[in-house]
Amino acid sequence: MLINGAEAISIGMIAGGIRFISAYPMSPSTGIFTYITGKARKFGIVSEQAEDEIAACNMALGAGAAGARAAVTTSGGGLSLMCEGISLAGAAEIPIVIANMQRPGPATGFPTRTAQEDLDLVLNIGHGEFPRFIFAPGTAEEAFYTSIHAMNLAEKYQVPVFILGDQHLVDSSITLDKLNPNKVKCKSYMVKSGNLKKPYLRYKNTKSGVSPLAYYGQDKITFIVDSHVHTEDGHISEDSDVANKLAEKRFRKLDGMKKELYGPQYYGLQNAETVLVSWGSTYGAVRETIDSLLEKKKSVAMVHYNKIWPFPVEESIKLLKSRKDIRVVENNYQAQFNRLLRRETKIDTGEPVLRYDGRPFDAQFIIEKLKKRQK
Amino acid sequence: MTKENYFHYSGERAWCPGCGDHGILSSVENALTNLKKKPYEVLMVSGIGQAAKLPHYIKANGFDGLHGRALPAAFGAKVANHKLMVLVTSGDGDIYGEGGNHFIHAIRRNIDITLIVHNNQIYGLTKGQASPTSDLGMVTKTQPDGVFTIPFNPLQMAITLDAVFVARSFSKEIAFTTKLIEEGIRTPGFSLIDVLQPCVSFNHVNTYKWYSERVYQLDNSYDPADKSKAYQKSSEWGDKIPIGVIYKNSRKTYLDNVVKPKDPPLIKRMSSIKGVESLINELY
Ligand SMILES: Cc1ncc(C[n+]2csc(CCOP(=O)(O)OP(=O)(O)O)c2C)c(N)n1
Ligand code: SF4
Ligand SMILES: [Mg+2]
Repeated sequence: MLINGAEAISIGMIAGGIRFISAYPMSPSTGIFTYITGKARKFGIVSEQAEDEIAACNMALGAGAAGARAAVTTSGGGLSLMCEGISLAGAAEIPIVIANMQRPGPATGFPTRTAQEDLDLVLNIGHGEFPRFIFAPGTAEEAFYTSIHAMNLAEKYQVPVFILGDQHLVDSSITLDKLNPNKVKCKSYMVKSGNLKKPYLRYKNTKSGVSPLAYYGQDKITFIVDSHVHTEDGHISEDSDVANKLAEKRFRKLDGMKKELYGPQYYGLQNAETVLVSWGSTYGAVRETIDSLLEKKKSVAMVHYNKIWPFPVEESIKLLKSRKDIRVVENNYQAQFNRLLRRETKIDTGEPVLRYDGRPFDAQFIIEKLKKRQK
Repeated sequence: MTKENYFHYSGERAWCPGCGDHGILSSVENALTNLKKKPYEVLMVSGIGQAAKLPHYIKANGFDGLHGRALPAAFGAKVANHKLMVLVTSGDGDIYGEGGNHFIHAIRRNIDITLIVHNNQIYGLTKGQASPTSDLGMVTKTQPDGVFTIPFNPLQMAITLDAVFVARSFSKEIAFTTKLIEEGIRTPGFSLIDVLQPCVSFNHVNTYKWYSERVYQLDNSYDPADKSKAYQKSSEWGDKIPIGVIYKNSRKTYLDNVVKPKDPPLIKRMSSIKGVESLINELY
């Protein structure tokens, strides 16, 4: 079969039980929005083209708060407009999946080309503090399974989940033997009717930080979803104890979130001296580079990151400590992932391999850059 | 016969004594009670502002989101579960200012939601700046020379966009407001009820006295189905201010286009593995 990243993310979201999608068209994310919209009737999904990305995000949050799995698709400029909505998802603990397909910026940038410039944005978007997931699938295959997981995890932890792709990922077609929709099950994390304990507290302070999730009116209950500092029953509070407990509850979710997939993947020679690091769509070019260098009997390997946040610290240290040369390959100027990796692991990395002209990497480009450094 | 009011919340309200918001809340409770609704069947959505605190002061489901963004959130919730009765209660700043774009497009979508705007012609929560509906000349700390930007006329905007139900009321007239809210709720589609609401702390121009001297109820001789008359009526402001149903119209609602009457709400639907397999097979 032949599948591109946009189709893979779309079918993954459908397999993950998406019920509502809202978006404002923006390249290179539009393909996902169009694909899901095209299948909406058949799958009982509602798709709405919003008046702007602020509306798109808040529509999805309304749907999510009411108990429907919801997602938005966008690219950098639109994501910037969703900033406050994402903060609301954090505050009100509303499940939402945000598929942000990157293109070069700033501002309008290169509308139809590729980049990985939004990593810092996605790591920090939304004022205030709250936990989030960030995934950056490397191939269409990975994108399919990741998208099912994303829909599940948003509901399981009631947090925003980012799928960080780019033009290169969505527009590249790959040939695959099979995608298995049974491999990752769409699983509901809402309280089953009958099991609902009354009085129901929407923000019940639990050990895991995750409160039981019900829908409005389920078993005749009422509850309020709220954006302020609030009590366990969702009402506005000015109390310092309430504020502390609420922040601690939200961040306790990280314990569970850290244990969720996917650890970084290792490929190449076991004890290779040089390790290239890819994240997201640079996977393909880095993998090709490794294959070509292995043929030349070089001591190389790669580590690929799909799960970016919560950052897999221990796994990274295990894979990367005491390597001679670690080289992050990424499509941006500031080496954003390289910085993140160093910050989180305290591991020294070598000069990153960067490209910021809107074009994807290829093996030759990477090898040239690596050679230049050796001189 | 008095029906039981299941909606009344007996806790404290962080509104000034004498604020018009109290009257609007009573009207909402009464309307829902008269319509024999139960709290679990109702969702109250708001943004941020004094008015937007209302969902915290009523026994029903609530969504208190972001300043200006009540309408998109309400839309999403209604689409997700069309069995819910969805009401939006927020301020003039919230709906006509920060959320102005959403106001336009919510009317176009015509989803079955009732919007109640607490129009105090001021930003109450942030202590008295001009709102889009502040009258010309109103002096505030941020408009020291008086407002010179022409006021937004929400009724006219709604009529232009062919909203199905456009009404105005005055918060002090609780029985009258109750009836309008009931009628707005009963009308399928997007209903706007703009309620003039004195802010006793920050709006010293449009006071109870000011409104009371000006508002008058439209009587049976007025036909809200006539669009050009409605347009004229909606521009009446100054010595006399009409309250009542200004414009009525009917057209398909958003949900008429996307769900069949017997469809289960979105929240009850599932994607089948078979369906997903069929999508994968299309790619071979
Ligand atoms: C994005 C954003 N901008 C500004 C504010 C501050 N703010 C909160 S309510 C409000 C205006 C309130 O006016 P209105 O909607 O008329 O409600 P009222 O208090 O008069 O009932 C403002 C400016 C905010 N909460 N969020
Ligand atoms: S400041 Fe004005 S709007 Fe706010 S509660 Fe007081 S009177 Fe009401
Ligand atoms: Mg106001």
